[in-house]
Amino acid sequence: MTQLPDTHLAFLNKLRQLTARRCPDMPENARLFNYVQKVTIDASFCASLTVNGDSGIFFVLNGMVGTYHEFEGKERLSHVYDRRDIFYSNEVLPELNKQNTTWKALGGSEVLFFNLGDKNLQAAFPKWSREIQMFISLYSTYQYQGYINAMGLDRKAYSIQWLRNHPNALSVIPRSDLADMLGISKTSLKSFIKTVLYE
Amino acid sequence: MSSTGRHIIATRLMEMTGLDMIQFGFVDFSECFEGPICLDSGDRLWDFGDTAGYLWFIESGFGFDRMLLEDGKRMLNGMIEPGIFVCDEQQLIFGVPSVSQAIVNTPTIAYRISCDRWFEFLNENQGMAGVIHNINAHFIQMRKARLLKMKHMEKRAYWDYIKDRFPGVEQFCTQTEIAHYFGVSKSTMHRIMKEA
Repeated sequence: MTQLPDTHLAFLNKLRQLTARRCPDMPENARLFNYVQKVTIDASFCASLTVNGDSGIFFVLNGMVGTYHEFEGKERLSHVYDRRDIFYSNEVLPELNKQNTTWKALGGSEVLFFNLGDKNLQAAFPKWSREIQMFISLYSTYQYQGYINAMGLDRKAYSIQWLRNHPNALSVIPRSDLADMLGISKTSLKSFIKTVLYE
Repeated sequence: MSSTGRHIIATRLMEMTGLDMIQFGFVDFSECFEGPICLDSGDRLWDFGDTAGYLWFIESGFGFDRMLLEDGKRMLNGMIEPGIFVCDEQQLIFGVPSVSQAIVNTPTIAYRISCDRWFEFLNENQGMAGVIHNINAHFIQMRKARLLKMKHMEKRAYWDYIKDRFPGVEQFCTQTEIAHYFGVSKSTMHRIMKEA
């Protein structure tokens, strides 16, 4: 019996947990792991993604992935995906990407990709591959609701908690990007970092 | 479901997508909705903690929905208006109790389908599932734009934009709910509104 890589198992198990209610017929991990591959999410890889072709689910193995958009002529970091986070290709599809959204690998990140556009996958599991694609496209818009909700929280409490939850962020994200992402000044960020480091 | 209601929902989907209403299952999908449901000003489409989740289609009427944030505050989320589909997304996606509330502020006519039935229908209808997948691909671009405006647009200009986009917002939502939407304190929001 082939031993499945732990990294792939962690990804597939997380996906199974996330989709349990709406896509309960997910095939066994052993039948899916061949469709999961390690990728480098650079500009040329993102340019290959399309709504109805190659598209799929990503999983952060190590490091972080920052999501940057253009707004009023500036590149802005809006959120990051940390270790074990799941995200979806809809964010950066070149054909729809009005905000010029890009992903940047931060801190030597490693990412797994599950290509839902793979014809072999669609032939082997036609019903499930349709269900999961629709589910994950809903989930990815829902993730944005979370970033929107975060804007409504008290900035100090939210920022301090975020820094606690993402201890590696300070070594991989420039301070100005981090302050921009949290919606605070660089002075406030400095003070919150002190709070977290010396508590 | 009345034939008028069926026609209204299928036609709206055709307008949104530019696709044929029969070939892509819009008419069959519309058949799954209950209604018309007539609501009065102040009625709730759904409330915080509701366990029975529905996706609503609004034929006429206006209102607002609010999110319950993790710290217990309520934040303005969006406007309910004719021609849109609205729901509590967390309930739709995960089948858990709702974390938002939607109240209509004018007499409203709406239709609804349970979240479970909606998923069942899409899982049985490949064409319609593909349409929803494509709608979501566009929808995330709108969410991105909204997030960027919330974070980075100059606050007074954003307030002018919101007033135009959501007429009556200051009458039907509290200043605190609006302040959370802007990510500012109540006193700052008061000043922005006063100066505008």
